[in-house]
Amino acid sequence: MWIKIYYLFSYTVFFYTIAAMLWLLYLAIQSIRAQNRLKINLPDDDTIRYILKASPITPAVSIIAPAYNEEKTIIENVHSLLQVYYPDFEVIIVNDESTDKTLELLIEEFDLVEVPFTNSMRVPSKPITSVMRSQNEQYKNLVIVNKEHGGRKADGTNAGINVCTNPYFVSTDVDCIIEPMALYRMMWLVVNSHDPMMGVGASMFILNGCKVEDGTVTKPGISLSPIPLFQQLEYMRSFLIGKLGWSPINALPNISGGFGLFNTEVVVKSGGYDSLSMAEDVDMLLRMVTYMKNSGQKFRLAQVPQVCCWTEGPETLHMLYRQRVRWARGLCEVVSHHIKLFFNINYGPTGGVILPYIWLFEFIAPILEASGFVFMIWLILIGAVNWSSALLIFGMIYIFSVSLSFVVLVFDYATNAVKWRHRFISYLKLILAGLLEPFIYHPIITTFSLIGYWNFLTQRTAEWKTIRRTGFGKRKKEKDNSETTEDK
Amino acid sequence: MYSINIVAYYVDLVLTWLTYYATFIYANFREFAWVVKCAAISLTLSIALIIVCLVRVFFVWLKRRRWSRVEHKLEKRFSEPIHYILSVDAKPNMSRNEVMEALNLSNSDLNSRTLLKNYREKLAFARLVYKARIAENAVLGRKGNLHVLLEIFRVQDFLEEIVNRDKLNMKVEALHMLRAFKVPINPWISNQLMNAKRVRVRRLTMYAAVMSNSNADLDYFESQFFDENCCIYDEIQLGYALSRRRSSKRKIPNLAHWAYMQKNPGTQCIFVRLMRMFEQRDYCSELEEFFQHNSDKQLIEEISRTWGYLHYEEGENLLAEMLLTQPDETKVAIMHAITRIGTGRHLGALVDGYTNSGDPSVRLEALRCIYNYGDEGREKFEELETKAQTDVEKSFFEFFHNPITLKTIPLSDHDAYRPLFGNNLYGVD
Repeated sequence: MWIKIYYLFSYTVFFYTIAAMLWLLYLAIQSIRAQNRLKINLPDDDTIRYILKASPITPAVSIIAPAYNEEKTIIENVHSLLQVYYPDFEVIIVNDESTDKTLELLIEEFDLVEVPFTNSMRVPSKPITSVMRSQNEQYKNLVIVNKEHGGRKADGTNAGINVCTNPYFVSTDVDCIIEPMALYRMMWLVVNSHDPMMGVGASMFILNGCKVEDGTVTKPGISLSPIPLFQQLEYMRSFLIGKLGWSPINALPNISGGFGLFNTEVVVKSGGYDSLSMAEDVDMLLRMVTYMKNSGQKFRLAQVPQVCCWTEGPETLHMLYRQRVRWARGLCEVVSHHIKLFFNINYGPTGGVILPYIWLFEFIAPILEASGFVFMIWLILIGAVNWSSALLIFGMIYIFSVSLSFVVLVFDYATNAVKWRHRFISYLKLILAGLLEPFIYHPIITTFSLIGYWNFLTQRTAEWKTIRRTGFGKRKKEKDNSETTEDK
Repeated sequence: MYSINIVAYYVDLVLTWLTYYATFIYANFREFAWVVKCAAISLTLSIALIIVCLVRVFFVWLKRRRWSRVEHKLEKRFSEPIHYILSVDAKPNMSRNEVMEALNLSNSDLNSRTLLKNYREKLAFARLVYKARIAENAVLGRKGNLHVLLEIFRVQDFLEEIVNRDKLNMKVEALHMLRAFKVPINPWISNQLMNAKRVRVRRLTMYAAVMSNSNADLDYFESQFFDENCCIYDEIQLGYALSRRRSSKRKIPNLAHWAYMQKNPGTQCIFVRLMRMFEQRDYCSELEEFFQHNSDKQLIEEISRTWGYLHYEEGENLLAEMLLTQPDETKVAIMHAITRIGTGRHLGALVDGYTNSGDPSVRLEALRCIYNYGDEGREKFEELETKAQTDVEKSFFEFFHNPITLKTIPLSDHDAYRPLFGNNLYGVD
């Protein structure tokens, strides 16, 4: 009996690993294909800007960014959002009844006054108390929405959707730095699509280690702190292989909550963001797909490979723990809420391929890895390990994971996705991260995911806590101070 | 013959390696389980992948280095004078000699074949001119000078050659450049490209040709306009370009009819917007049936805006009728249209909009319209203010005393387009 269990488990793990490897290889090939296709369909930035800026039918876009107690960084962040290049856009900052001086600072800096507003409540959110606009012509595309405290980003975004009048909106965080050309790149795919574009995702990279001046990333760099470094590599793999690889089959596992473009009408008709969900971005996309498929409408989903947004990653293990536990819990919620979509080809590639993939290779993986680890220890204890074979299999997995990191780096280099400061050193850091990741970062992430699953099973009260931000403005000032000190 | 031999040599080499590899795996792992064999193969393939990655990086680096040298050399020599020639500071319609003088070139330089001697240099030069063209376009640039510059270096011939022979991505890039330079494309090439397999090439050829001043393919473009492969953006862009060009040379086509021909309400909306843009008041009557029998809210809003903006008085009765039956979302656009037309006959409809609507924002907009409806409207507004009883009604009038609200009370023409058009409504393209 035990022997049978032993063989069954060993072969399951082996086949699972081979399947995961083949799947990742398939995604890597698909992402290269997608990139080659985009070479033709997504021209250089100058051309995109030249055509869309002059066109009278370029759709207007709203950038929605909820904010809660962001007094330290809000002014610089809003200035940063206002610097985006696009002929017609508005920035909607949703103030979630901040208890600090966020609103006062905004009023003072941007000369805001209350204006009449249309409270249409197209999607559920806490009531909007007032809408403010600037009296200064320079900030005419800034809208501040004050609402009752909802405590979730989803609620804030919904309030922003209720105020937004544009056909497309970008959902982002107030502390993200958007690349000036981001909207042009995304909207180019929207206007050139045969079928209505439902959503466009874009690559997000880690801000830690970058040089920021006047709200824009002037020199992208990579932090030496281990957690942001590992996370940078993870983001690159996720956006450049994971998401881009799915886009050719018109499916995306999610459009990141940090930065994604959506069709306002489809979001409204799908009921807006779910304020109770821990993975509101995945949930939103799945509900949008469900709505479009149920109503028999054609749609497109796309991913932009170039980096369009920079976000601050967690610096400490504790912050990483909070983030990953929340993500894992969100994954459980998605799996349980959208179970009817799984293996359901009526919902296209999302139901037939993406969700089974998420279930098999993202949801199950931490459980299988942890049980495999326990199983291995047990085998070592009873002395039943064939070391030469075990090392070979271990080497296979390790080298494959490293080679995947190499593929991402080559991809990044060949496409010139980011013009890294000190390019050689940056790549060297990332290679080092790729070599160490399977030993250090991956076990930590697996553990946090398991804790998240456990929290979901035991129904522990979920808390939505934001990551403590250093703030890029502050970082710049710190840098300036240090430079002054050095000068002295 | 020689190239076939080389290919055969490399195929033979790869096959030899594969045979050696298979023999190696078989010899060394013969005694092991198939699981181990699989692991060994995967391991070596992963190592091969890493090697391929490194080789790829090396070649990309090498290619970039070569390109950057060429680009740097050309930029150093030509960037500044080209920007000057295309800028507004330069004399318009410069002669060939003047352009050459600005570039510090003599006829012997052109004949010596040392200038732009190979494909890479020619392409880098074309890109340089393209970038300068885009940079200087904001102030409309000097199109005449650009054409002289292109003629001196035979850039157009070179780009047409790329379009005719090169890889797809190069074709697309060359077409983008031709489009930006607004030069007439050789009809033979454009006809050939119109039948290209790739939709992207067909579209770009259309754009490039439409943007030039050639009339040769006009009928063909119009037939393409209703092609199934045209996406909404293509249709609009093409319609816009054709209409704009026709505005200077021929009569603008009936855009109301083009709107009818579309199936998608979104596209129909855009054509109705274009009607507003080209001030096609004569065709407004063709929209009446559309207006009455269509359930798409956005389209109804668009038609209302267009009628209002074009002061289509004949449609005012219909607007007032529709105000009674339409939902709150579309009422605002209809009320704005009635106010813009402003014949003075339908103040009652606006007052009904104010009193009968359940949505406070619609009521507020109705008040705004009443306020803007001439002297009669202002009197009615004051009357309603004195009659205001509930807190909500009183708060409406408070808004009208707010300094920033006062600025927004008059209906400006710009409002008619937001959020439908970009800020630069009449862009330089």
